[in-house]
Amino acid sequence: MIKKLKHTKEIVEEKIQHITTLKKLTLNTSIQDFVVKGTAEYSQYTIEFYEVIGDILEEIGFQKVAVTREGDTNNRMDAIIIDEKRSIPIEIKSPKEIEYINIKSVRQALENKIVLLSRKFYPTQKEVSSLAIGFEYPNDRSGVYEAIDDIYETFNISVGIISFGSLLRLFFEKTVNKKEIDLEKIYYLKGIYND
Amino acid sequence: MIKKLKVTKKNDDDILILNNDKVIRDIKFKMTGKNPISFVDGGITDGVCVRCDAKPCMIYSKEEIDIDIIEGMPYNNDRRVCPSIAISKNEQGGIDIDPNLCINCGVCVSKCQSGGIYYNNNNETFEVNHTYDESFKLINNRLNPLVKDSESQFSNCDVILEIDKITTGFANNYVNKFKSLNAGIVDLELVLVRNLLLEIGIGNKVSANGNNDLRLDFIGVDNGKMIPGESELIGSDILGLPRRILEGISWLHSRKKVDVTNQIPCVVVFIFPRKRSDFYEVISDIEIVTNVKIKTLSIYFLSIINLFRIKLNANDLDKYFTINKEHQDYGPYFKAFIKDIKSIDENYGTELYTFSK
Repeated sequence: MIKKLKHTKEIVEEKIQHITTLKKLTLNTSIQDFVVKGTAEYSQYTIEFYEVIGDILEEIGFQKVAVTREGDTNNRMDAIIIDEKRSIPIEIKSPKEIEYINIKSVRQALENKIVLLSRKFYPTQKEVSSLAIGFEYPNDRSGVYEAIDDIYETFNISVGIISFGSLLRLFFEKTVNKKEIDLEKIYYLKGIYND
Repeated sequence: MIKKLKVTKKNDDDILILNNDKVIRDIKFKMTGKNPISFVDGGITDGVCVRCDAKPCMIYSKEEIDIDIIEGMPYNNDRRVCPSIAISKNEQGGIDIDPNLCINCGVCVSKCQSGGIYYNNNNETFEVNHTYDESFKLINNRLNPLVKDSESQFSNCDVILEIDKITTGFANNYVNKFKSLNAGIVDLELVLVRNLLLEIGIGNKVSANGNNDLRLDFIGVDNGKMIPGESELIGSDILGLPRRILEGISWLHSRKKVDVTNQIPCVVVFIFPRKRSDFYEVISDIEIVTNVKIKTLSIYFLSIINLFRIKLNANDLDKYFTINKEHQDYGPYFKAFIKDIKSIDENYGTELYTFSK
């Protein structure tokens, strides 16, 4: 089970704070500028980075996202999108840890999915993705994309990677442009999220 | 009483050979002092460094190292036998072991055919014997046919193992010296893993320093089976081993077209992880979800198996060495190969055999 979750009231207050901060940044600006401002806002934090990712995912339409405290090694995953049938484990890499999503993130995402499928502490399905979310997408020579393909070909497990910038874009589309986000694309994401 | 003579020659062209009338019956390897050589005439002497040309205790031959596993893959081709570079050639043409650098892995012991490397149970480390009696003579011509005759006696004689005690000092030295030297000696960990696997009969190659083409720490081959491997002997990423090996398996399957069922994935540890760590549970999770059965090899086990001159093969790896949520004790695996290990090894039951508390 996900442990050490913060007190509900505390979570709600922090969520409101992060969403308020982000919404302020959306005022009278383009999506590109919002992404620049948003990444700058959260580039120096670790705990807040974990929290804001959970908040954005809820804001764009996922019903419930549980985030563990950074550095809590008792849990195998940093966050989880809790769903009646299709829960998604999430590995988060804050900009204070690493700037680019790397191969370690992919390995951890794979392990998170295996642990969830085995221990069943939230319901999921094998074909549902396991996510690695970080500050920036990896470069082409990082081996990350090849590793995701290799893992899928071998174990039939999809690892999806989403940058913080992509999440901010989704947030802007939802809250400013009032667009419905295609969550199915995230449920079954393999590789990079193309927004 | 056999009178011991001191080495006097200083010429590195000299080589020690057996006297013409000496025919070896056997060499005994103990873990208590020098290794006795018994002759058919009833005489007995100590195994000694004979200053051989090949120096198998120092360097592997190209044939021993050049194992064809994946064509074109850059590997670590360092041919040193001693992972911690404790062995050096001396002025007399023999070898010395620096006691400050010897980690007690024992790789060199099985390589020396003349029984010259022995365990000094006072210092609790391996040393080289350079003293010899009239069973030997020094000659100055390495091309002399007598040299070959003498060497073939060593290579063809029986080795009798009389290891009835492995001390806590031996193991403590092994763990502590490895810990203190690991960061300062290039590829100490990987060369140690490679060499012990080679010595117990598993042909393997390790990754080249700074080259990520081989997405594994090592890869072995035996009887048509591939053995992808990751090692974390003392480091902080022991919990990362299962996911690292999974990625290696997928690389081997997807890029090199080695079916998962044809792979025996192994992780190598020194000290077993704590019981409360998730290591054992994750290995069980992986088996439940992917049907991949990760094997855990202990570097200590490999060293002891090598001291006992036992050879393993792919089937052994496949059959044994499962460490998971249900099974966290390595003792039964030792017992499968060394029946009396519990009474021989004072370290039995410690974190070299089972989970750390």
